[in-house]
Amino acid sequence: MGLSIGIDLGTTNSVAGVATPEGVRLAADSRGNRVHASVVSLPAGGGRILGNSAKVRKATDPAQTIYSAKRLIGQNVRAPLVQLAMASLPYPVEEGNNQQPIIVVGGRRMTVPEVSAMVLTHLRQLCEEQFEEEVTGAVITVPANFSDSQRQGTKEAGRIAGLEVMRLVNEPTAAALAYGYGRSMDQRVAVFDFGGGTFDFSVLKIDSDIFEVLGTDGEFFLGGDDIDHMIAEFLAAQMNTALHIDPRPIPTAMNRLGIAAEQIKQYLTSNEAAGGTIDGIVVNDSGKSVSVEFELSRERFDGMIEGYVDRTIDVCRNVLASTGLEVGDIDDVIMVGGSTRIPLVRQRLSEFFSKEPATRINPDEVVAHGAAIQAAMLAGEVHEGERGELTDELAENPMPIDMGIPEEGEVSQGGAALLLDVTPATLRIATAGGYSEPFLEKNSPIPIERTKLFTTAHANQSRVVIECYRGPARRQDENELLGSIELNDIPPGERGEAEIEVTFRVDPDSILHVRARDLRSENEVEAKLNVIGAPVSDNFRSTIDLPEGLSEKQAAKLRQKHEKEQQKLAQKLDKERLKADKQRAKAAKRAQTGEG
Amino acid sequence: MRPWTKRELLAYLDRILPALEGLDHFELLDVPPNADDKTIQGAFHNMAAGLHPDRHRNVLSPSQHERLIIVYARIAEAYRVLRSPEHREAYLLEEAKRSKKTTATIRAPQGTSSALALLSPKAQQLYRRAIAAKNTGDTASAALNLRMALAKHPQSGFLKEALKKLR
Repeated sequence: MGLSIGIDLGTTNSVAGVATPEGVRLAADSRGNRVHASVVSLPAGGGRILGNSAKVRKATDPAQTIYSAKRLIGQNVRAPLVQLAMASLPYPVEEGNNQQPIIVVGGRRMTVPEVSAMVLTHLRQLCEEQFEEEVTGAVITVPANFSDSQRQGTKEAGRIAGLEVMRLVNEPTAAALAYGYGRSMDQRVAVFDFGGGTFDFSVLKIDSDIFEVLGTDGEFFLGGDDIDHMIAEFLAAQMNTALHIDPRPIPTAMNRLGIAAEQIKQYLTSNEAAGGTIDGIVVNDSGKSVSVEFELSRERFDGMIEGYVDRTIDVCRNVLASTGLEVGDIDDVIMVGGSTRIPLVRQRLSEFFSKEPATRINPDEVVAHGAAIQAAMLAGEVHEGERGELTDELAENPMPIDMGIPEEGEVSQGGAALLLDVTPATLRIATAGGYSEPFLEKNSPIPIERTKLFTTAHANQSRVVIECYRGPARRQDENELLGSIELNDIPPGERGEAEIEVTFRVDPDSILHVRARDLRSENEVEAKLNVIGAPVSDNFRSTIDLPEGLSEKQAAKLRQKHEKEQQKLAQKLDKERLKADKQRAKAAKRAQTGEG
Repeated sequence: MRPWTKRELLAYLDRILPALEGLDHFELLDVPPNADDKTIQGAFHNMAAGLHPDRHRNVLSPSQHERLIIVYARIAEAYRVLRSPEHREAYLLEEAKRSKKTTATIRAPQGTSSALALLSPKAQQLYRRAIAAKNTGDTASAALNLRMALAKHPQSGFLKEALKKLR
């Protein structure tokens, strides 16, 4: 059996490691870095440059260098927020099958999971070189508020990278596991996870070896990337004033400013003001470049990001309210993600919780630690040993972990910690009149299965379409459409006579499966939802694998049938797309007016 | 809390799976119908510690594991409903409506037979003996048999309730 590793697949950076009897060990690159840029560079001359070596190419070879792919994974390319994110990316993104984003670099078209798989392969190889063992399985972490298609995309990336994805674990949950593992504590902890691309907040109850998530929420497109973008816009405005050149329509120039922005942000963490000159901003096709001077005080910076920080605190407030807890009930606040290094974030966080957050934890590595521990537990590798402190100096002293001792041969992997996670959003089912009703409210424990009876709205209705949504609103179109399944050939009857049993099952990876059964005819359909924007599955194969030994006629018949099915499916998806588009447009409008 | 052994787990699955559809949420969590929040949470944590699918991933065959996930997912649903006063009330109303509908055709009160089915054969025998003793007026013998059954299933809310009624 090979190695089972834990991977924190981040928007900006990724970390991978393995839990050993001596503790969690993280994979380092040739320069000794344990944090690896989630960047893939595909030079025109061929080959592939990955990780931190690829990061520097963001500036030198922007059109061939892909970063922040996580922002696009499992997304609908037409969604307004995705369009917005794409506008700040220097590499072209096109629309593929099922409205999934396709990244085009050097004439090569790639799905987002294919790109993420390159990042995963890099991490896998680093682990294999360092730990001298083949890697077979992995626990990959995802933002708690990742939707079904984003989770499916991540699993797909793992599969392409040749990994058995043992589990997708929510990032804040993994962080809490690393924090409380083996310390036999009885505490309520809050995890504030402010990373490169997303923000998550979770509250957990740690009762010795049981880690129960009490509540979680988050925001997508709220992270360090957005702050960098904001500073880049500020620099662009300065450049426009000083030089009368607007760099905003010039991707390479904006990319250069984005890199500078990240450095300025980091500098302002420990300094009151930043100022200087940014050179090498290419402003036209002939390669002409200019320099721009800038000056940014901490105070001004704080003012710029205040809106973002307010949003994170709002999420904290809402999650606490939903769990019925008060600030005083929280024993410790764990900070995760690079954006928690920003002084204003720390200040507002300690004000809100009336206590200093835990700073002894390395915010970049804690999630990968948790993932590695969970991977070892799922693989049933039981280790003994003392547990150390999880500190920034972790590299020299990897955290020893105590995995408990099996009692006898047939005892399952035990004594080890157990994660009890929850659904991040309410799952709903469409009802008549454009409304929806909750089927499983947010913060429901997973895995979970609920069955409920429904009936038809009209007499002699022969088919029902069960539409599934994700979100807080009663009105259908204010939620995210997850997809639908269809039940046909319902026997005729009076209105309300039909009994349709609908089952929602949320699996341990927090992915929804829906089943519908007509109790009178016993017709049953079980389906994974067709999610718009999700990586396209086998449904869309244009050719069909035929069994051997068929006559020409039989084969032709099967092919014809397959084509028909494909056409039907495509038509159905088109309809759903149209609907989803309308909804997204509405949602975007609302978001704009709401924020403005 | 230790995870259950493979033997315990398989015996539990064999007992519970045939009865699964007939079990109400209280029986699934093995708590009495008047259980308070703390009891419900404690019961869920106990069951999760014992039978959570993550703890038995490598001990069971894939099909056994799949069955375990089915059962656990139902227990999670029972916990979701019973821990919320609002859901619990709605659920009790729904159950009351349903049992009114079904009492006409099904003689045994709903739940009893399925809760019984959850017990091991030996405990079922002890329970039947207790009921027989009770019917002849021998409450001492009935209580003894129930206690012996409880010793085999210390968590059974069903048996606890029966013992309480006897007193």
